[in-house]
Amino acid sequence: MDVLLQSLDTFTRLDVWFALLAGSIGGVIIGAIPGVGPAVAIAILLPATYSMEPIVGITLLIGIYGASMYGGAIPAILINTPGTPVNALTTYDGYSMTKQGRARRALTLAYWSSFFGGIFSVVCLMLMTSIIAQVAPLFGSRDILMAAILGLVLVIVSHRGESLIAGVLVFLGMFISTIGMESIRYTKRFTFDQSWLNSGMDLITVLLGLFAMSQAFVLLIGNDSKVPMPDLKGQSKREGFYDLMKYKTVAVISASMGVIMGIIPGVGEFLAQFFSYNIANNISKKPERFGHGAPEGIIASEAANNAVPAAAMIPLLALGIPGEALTAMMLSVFYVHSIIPGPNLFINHADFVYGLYMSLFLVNVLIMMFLLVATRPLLRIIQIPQRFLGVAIMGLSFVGVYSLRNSLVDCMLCAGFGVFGYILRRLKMPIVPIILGIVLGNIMEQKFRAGMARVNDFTDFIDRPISFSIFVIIIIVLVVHGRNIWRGYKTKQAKQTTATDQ
Amino acid sequence: MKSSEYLTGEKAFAILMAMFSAFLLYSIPSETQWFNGMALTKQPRFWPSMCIIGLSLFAFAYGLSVWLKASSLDECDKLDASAEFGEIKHWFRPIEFVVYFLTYVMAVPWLGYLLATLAYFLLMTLRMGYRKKSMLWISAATALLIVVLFKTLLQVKISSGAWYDLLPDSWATFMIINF
Repeated sequence: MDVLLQSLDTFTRLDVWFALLAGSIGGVIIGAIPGVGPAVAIAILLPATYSMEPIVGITLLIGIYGASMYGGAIPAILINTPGTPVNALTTYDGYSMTKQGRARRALTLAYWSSFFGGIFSVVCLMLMTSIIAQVAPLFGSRDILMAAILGLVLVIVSHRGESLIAGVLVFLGMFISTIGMESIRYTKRFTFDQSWLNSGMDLITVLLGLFAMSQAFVLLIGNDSKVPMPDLKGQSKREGFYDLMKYKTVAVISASMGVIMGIIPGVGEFLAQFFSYNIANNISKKPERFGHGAPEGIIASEAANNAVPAAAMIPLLALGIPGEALTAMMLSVFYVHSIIPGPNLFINHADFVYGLYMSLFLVNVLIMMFLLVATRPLLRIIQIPQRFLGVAIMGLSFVGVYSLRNSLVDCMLCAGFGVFGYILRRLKMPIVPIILGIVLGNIMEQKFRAGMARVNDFTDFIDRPISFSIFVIIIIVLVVHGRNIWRGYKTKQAKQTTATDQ
Repeated sequence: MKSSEYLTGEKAFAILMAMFSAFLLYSIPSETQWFNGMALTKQPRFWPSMCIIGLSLFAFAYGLSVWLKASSLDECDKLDASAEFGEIKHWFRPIEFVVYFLTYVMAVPWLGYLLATLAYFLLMTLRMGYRKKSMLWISAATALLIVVLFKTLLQVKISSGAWYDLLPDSWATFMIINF
């Protein structure tokens, strides 16, 4: 109880409220601009948060993370362009509703669904705290190593149809994390006698290059497209809320799916909304409406993806394992302030953990209040010319990377990774596996070395109940993935045979 | 992007990744150390080697999948794919903007963050083809906003301009702290 009161005390501070407001409003705006997204914004703001107190910095970043998905629904519904990639499924039914003259209803439904998903997830997180606090200390180095391996395996297999390239990029990220002086024998690894490589490649430099600079290049090289100004006049604001009440079951299932997928490292919003959308379709009495303006479609997509941020905090806080790129970025803020996420966090920094929960809750409330009054002005943001946005993102990337240590080399590296990210974007390849490879690779090496003290042969890695259970899950995931690939191959062959016969 | 261009890009990417992983494999002995008498798993060489082996295996499998995809194309598409290097040309298009970016970076220690940012935003806005006065004002305002937000308010560490030293002491201090 003392800890809870102590954490509430945090919210009497002005800087925390400023971070809450800036994160919530800034996140909605960032989400509403197609082509920016939370990853770019968080990567740019990350170095600035290092000088803030941990709760202030993390609150700001969490605000952006959660709010961007709310904001991303606006262009998804109004102009058929998702503001963030995770709003893609919202376009199916949201834009259809706009074409039918029900844009306001679709928007308020998306807001209320997102709000429900967000709050549901925070409540789940709060309810699970005592369990997490009891279970997390049971995890030893070998268990965390296995959990990190599971995370990487899931990152690779969840990129269906691009698992091989995801594998290449994960291992590339892991390799990048090994560059520089290692911490046991202090020997140099892959520095090629370049002194600037001795301390390795900074995660922020790589992040800003891959996410922000590459996106800036895409926008600078592309064309400005004329965006029509949608008309919301004369439409009721309340229908969206009534729709959510009408489809409560879909909302609960979707938010639960978001929570489950958020907890599993390496999976995230994409699969959460994909599964919940399919479930909503299957349980609907009118499945034919899906893709043509079904309110359940918007609920499924928005409730699921907004339930992920709070749930994604569970593996991060309990084990120090980020499930996706955004929590991987937040991990660096924890480290900068010597708050090491993991089993001991709930014992040593319980007030911080509760403060974080409160921030997550308040962020959702503030976003909802802001959206209910500010939708109309937000529509203007959608119309910012894309190439000018590219100029701004490149200018902001400079702040992020240069403020690390005022180094031209860092900026060159960042630009280099920007070009690499641009190529990946051109080829429609995923960027997230590299980041998770860098972060998880680093964790894996540390835990591997720590675990080696008690290991004589490789079977000792799985002789603990937790590590063995995770190992079994890894095997099941790989077997299921292999079976899916085989089935896909057989189906493709059967189709080709049929086509040849015809 | 045409499918043939996409495949050309994938092929080039697969070749680059294969070459890169081969180079890393070759560099393991020279770029990592081995201590005699130390267990394999405790060697500084062990972990990077595991990463590079994983990278090489996936790069090989990816290359193979691209090659199989390319060989399943019909003759017409194959000719198209080998003749067109349009996609690879695209990969060099950001270089122009990299040059602008690095010029901006190098200008900051001389001009200071405020002036360099104003110059960057205005020149880039012109380069992007915006000629309206209103757009140039918006551009300058954005530059000013970014500088005030990050340097003045958040006190992000960005080096001050060399010419600030020429100013009277009180002005120089003001500029160093805020812009």
